[in-house]
Amino acid sequence: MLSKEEFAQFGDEAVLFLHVTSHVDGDPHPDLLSRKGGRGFPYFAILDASGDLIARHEGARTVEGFRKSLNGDAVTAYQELRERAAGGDAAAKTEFFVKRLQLAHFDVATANAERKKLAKVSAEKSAEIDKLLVDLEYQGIMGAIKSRDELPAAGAKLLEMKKAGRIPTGPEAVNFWMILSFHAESVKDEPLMREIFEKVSADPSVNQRVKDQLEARLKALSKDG
Amino acid sequence: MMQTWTLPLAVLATTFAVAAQDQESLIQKRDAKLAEDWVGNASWTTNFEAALAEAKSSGKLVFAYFTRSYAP
Repeated sequence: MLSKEEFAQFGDEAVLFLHVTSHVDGDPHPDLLSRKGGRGFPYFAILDASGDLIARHEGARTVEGFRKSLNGDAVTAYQELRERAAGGDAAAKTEFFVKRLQLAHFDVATANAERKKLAKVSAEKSAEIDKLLVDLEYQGIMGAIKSRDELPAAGAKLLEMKKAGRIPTGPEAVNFWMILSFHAESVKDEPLMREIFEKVSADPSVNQRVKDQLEARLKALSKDG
Repeated sequence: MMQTWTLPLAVLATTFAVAAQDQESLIQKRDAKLAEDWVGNASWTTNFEAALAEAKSSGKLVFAYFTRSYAP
């Protein structure tokens, strides 16, 4: 599809940026995929002139599909919200901050600093922001992992989140528990491993093979203990 | 839904596998990717800063495509 003439013409409607994750030393932006919200390959995204992610392309990988993302409601809504926020609308500033949290524009420290600049928000909105900050903290820990050896240390950080009651929800939750399991194994924490197994086993979205593997790891840990 | 949780771990696994490849091999794979026909079909830029500068001057958005060269 990218080889077709109609895609070449699509290039007149947007700036086409190609990023190849290569792991070649000296790459100026080796982690650009994760910084722009990508979790795997291929990944298509719409960015503004500041490089901020505006929308992920999740539709058909056709020129028509790409065009829908480029000119779609998500992009329009983002741009309108950004303008209203820049114009001083307090409610829009809060909603724009939430949108930017959802799009992972910030690290945790920056997000917390930006939050302090907001006008007072409702308890419901505050809870929504808290949840997004938990997701952001989790994503930051995951994004920093560069080798398998770092998994237990990352798991230790997730344990601190768990102790503080900051546990991701939604699709991230199972990954949270799975990474935490590496820490439980490394420190031979059988009760924690059992708790993880029970959490993951109760999730209908996880396939049985993974549950079986986790149970086997739990049994091995129990046997060692 | 079944796939959503496995993806990050799968990405991590392939990322870790890169450690076994030397730089010469990685450079060859990157250059081969950039030499593929589809890259020459449209006006792609691989320079992030240049893409943003062009977006700023033209008023266009950036359509970003992320791919990889170190693994199939």
